[in-house]
Amino acid sequence: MALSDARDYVLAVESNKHEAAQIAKATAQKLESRQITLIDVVQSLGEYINDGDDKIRTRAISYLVAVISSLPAKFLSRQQIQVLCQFLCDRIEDGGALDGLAKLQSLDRFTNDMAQMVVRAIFEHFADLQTRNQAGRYRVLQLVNELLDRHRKAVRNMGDESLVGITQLVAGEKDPRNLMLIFSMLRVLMVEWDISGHVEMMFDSVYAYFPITFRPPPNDPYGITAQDLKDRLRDCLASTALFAPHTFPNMLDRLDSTSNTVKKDVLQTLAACAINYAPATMSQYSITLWDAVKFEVLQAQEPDLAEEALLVLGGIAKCLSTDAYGLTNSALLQYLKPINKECLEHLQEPASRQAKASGSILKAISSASIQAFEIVIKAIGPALFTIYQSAQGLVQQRAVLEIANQLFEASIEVYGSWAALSPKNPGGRENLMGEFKDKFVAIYSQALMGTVKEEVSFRLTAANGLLLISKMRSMLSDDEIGLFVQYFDDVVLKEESYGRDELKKRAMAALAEISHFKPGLISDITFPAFLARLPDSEEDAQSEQYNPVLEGLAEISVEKDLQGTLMRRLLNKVDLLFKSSQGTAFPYTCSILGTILFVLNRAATVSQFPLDAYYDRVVVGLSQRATEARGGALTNEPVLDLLGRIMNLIIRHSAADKIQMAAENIYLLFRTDTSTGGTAEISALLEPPTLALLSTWLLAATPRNTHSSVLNKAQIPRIIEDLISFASKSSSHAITQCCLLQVALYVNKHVETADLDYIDALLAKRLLALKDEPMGETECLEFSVRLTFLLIKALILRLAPNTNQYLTSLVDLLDERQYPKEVSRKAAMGFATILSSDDVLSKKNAVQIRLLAPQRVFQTLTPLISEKFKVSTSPSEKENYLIALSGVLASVPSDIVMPELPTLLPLLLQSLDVTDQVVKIATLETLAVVISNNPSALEESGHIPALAKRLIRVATFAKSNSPKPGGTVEAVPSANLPATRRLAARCLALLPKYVSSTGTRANPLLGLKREVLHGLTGVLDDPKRDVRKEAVDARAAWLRGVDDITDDDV
Amino acid sequence: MEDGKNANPLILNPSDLPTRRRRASVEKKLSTGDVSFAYPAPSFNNDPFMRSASPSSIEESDSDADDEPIDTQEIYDLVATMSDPEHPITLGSLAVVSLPDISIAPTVPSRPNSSLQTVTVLITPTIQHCSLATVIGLGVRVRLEESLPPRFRVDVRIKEGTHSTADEVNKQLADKERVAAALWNPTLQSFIKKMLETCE
Repeated sequence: MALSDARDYVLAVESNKHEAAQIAKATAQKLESRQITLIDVVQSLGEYINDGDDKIRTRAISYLVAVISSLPAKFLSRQQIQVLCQFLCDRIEDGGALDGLAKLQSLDRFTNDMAQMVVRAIFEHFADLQTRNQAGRYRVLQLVNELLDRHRKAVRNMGDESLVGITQLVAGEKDPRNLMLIFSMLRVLMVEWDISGHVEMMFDSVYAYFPITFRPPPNDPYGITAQDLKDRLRDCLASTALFAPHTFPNMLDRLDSTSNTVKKDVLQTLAACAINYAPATMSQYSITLWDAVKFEVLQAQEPDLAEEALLVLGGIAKCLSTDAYGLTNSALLQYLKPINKECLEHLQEPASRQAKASGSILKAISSASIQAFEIVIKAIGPALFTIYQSAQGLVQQRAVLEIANQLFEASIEVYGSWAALSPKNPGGRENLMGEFKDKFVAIYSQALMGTVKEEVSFRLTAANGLLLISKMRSMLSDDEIGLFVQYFDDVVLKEESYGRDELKKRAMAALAEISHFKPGLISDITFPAFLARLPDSEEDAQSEQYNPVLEGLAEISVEKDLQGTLMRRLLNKVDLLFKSSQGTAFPYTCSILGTILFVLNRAATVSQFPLDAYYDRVVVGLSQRATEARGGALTNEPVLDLLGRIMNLIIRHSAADKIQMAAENIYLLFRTDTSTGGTAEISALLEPPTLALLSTWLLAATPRNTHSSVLNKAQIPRIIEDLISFASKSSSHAITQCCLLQVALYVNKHVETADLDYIDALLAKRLLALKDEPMGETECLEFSVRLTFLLIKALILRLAPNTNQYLTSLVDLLDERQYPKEVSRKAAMGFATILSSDDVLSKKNAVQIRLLAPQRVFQTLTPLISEKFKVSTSPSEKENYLIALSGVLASVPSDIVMPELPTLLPLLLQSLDVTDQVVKIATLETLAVVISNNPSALEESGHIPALAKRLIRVATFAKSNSPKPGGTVEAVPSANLPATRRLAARCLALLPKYVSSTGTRANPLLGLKREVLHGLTGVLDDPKRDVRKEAVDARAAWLRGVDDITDDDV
Repeated sequence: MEDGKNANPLILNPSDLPTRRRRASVEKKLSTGDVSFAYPAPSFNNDPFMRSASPSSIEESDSDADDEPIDTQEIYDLVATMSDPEHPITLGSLAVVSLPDISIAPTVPSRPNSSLQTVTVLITPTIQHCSLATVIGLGVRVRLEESLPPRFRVDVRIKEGTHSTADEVNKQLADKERVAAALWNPTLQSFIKKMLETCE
């Protein structure tokens, strides 16, 4: 019976893998139920196992392996495993035997002796491993790897036999997949075997591969990179200090290589060695290494390599530090002494490049450990003062301070900052910098505060240094840091602006950083100083004074307490301003409100603080005050808008009951006198009418499905009607717009899909009215167009069922045969609103914005517009279509635009001929995206020459002064704006970057090169600097970016 | 070439290089528009219906009302970002070119109103016998010639007393034929290409 199973398997295995597996499984079950014995199975192989044909033998073995694999893990006895192991070892070269052994060695009853037997069998049979194919080699290596993994002790007990055996077995391997395995095995041998008798052999076994120059083939399925191989090889070389006599001389030799990648490899290997080798070994080579590696920093050609070299130098210091504690003449000291000496020599010329490099070296070695730092600072610290005193000029002084700053950084690294002790300083040892701090503080303070403001970089360095010193753990007292805070305050508040104001920015950043570890100092010193700069009335305020102050306050108030204090102070200021303010414009009030909004927003979104604490004071209190106001700031539209935003933010980050309360008070606005009653007309409640602005933001903050008297299903149609009528009567543009936004909010958030018929009817009425709007009444007409667009926007964002129909009716508005010209004109502009982001109609305010809405809008509108554009005969109508298209384009993500390019490109090119600058700018921006993201579509369209010509025309400043002598010099009416010209030149600059010769086709730009270069020459003389700059870049790109091998014409 | 190299030149900090100070009007705008917490404009201000298609009203500042003629700072910006052929550092940081050493004057002094102008750039090599002074001069010349409108004449010279063979180099740089011939040299071409790569 077993015999027939074997035969069936051997016959089936080639043709039907599944069936073969079933047969093996069946046999395994029979074994398990003791119907047959293992002997039976092995004997059943008899006739095949000695067959002359490789394939037959392979199949027979694989049958046995398949059976074994299907058995439960504990089924086989030790003897049985022994027998099978012996059997498979004898036939190890037959296919499948390796798999069988792999299976056997994973069993618990597999003994050490068996492991050694397998290893020996491998050595014996695979001496010629390299003659086999990659997959075959890989299987052998994998088995060895598994044995090393599970039976390492047994293999290690074989001593030199396994060491030499494995090393020789893998020698000569070239395939990256196998090498990955080999490197990891060799590393195990190097670390865990006694290799003292075979150091050179082991070293050579891996060093032979250095440097790795492997480059993976394109689309490599195995995903092994050169870096993977380098990493493993490096781990091998760095695995044991026994290699040191071989590694270091060889590596230093290779450091002379001309290839930067090889040098980088060498430096990384040296750094790895420094970390892994024993300090005793490193100390023998430390000076040699310093002498060789220092050139990579001192004479740096590549900043990259200098970085790596610094890691090597720091790594050595770290290694030597591990056993240097307390010894006066330690290995660490011996290593650092010549470094200190040489660096000191370079520092005598403090502004030179080598001095700068020396600073980096000192930082790298002193960051290694406390001991290293103390050796360095003792040698360098006093000298720095002498050099500083004798330095000639600020350039040199600044260089000295830069170097000191690097040492400060190192000191924070090894001792720790206010935030935490350094892991290198577990005992909390006192910072040796303390000895020098008074002198440093004096020098730095003098440098920052006693130097003219033109010396920006010098003062910047000083500011950096002061911040670093104040960060050092328990270095300075609060008084001393307070002094620095005062300096920074003075820089920010008292100094005149200069250049790019880098120092002010740095001082501000320093204050912000200090606020994290010394918030007390900031609230005691900086807050009063800053707040004193904020006047109490609108009239005394000047924007150039209060803006930087507010900006600064916002920046330093990140800590929770500071932020609370700031909000209190600013709200008090707001109260004062609301009380006193008269007049018509309130920029100062707006700035303060803007700051409040910014800080609260940061608190809510970044730090996730709830804002309940501000609810009563701001939302309730200020709403009430606004209802009582009859003039001044609280009836000013920009002020109320900002206030509304703040309330909106607070409500959204408050508890549910407070949100509900706000929903009840959208129009009541927390009035205490209820004489007007809860059901009063909206027009009565919105008195003064500017309250509509607050209502809008309160309504926006209300989540969907909230129940309140105004959000009642029966109420909403009436409210919408009221709002529309109220809006149509208002003379203020802001109020009209807000009321319409409220309508949009209701339509989007608070009307069920089933109830949308009512809105559709409203819309149809408006559209019909627009058709025969009497000419002249433009205001009423404009209102209707606005309402139409906002209603449709609210509907489209939630992808209402009739979305396509809405979009079609919008495009119809552009048709001059259906609607009056004024309507079409207005409507064309309105397309920009459909997808533009809106602070009120936003996700934050729980507005339903479906993800696919922009795509749907774009894919519906583009063909419609393009179709209508083609058949239209009226130039003004054509222009309207282009204006509409550019409006949509401006707010659609480019990945949605790209698929429609073939339809769009002709329209885009025509848009460049329109006089409307807004259209042109939107078009050019789209074109810039097209050129950089999808140049191939552009090439395929064949429009490149037309595009380049138009771009030149748009970029050129049109002055009609050249041809006619005596003609008047004046701008042509269709002159393009500087922004337009600049964008056109930018598009020209982008072309050569993204369009180039592909495959056999010549560069499509080549034929245009001469014309474009000539055209750009004219743009070089544009009156505007920004345009000239783009033209310069564009010319450079065309001159050197558009090339062909055969091109020797230009 | 080894001896003509200065391996250890002085390097200026980018904060100390001359930059264009913003005009007062622009500066004001930026102090509210550029900062991190610029508060949002009122929601009703962004209104596409209100805009007009006439150019002047889009942005007041963005009109052609005031000309911005090409000045020395602009010339400086053109050449300061080029990199030195032997260090990966810009000519500005190395003080090879500096703002006071750039001048613009009418080409024909007797006709100051003519649009023909001459740009003079004086180069300060990093060391007296810098072997690459000619290449740097050539690079600066190429950069200016391709970046300035044709009405400008370009004059690049070594600053007096800063180079041992200044006269020789100046003669080469002033000789149109020799400049043109030099640009055919592939080695020089690649040098100059490398210098121009870092232009911003």
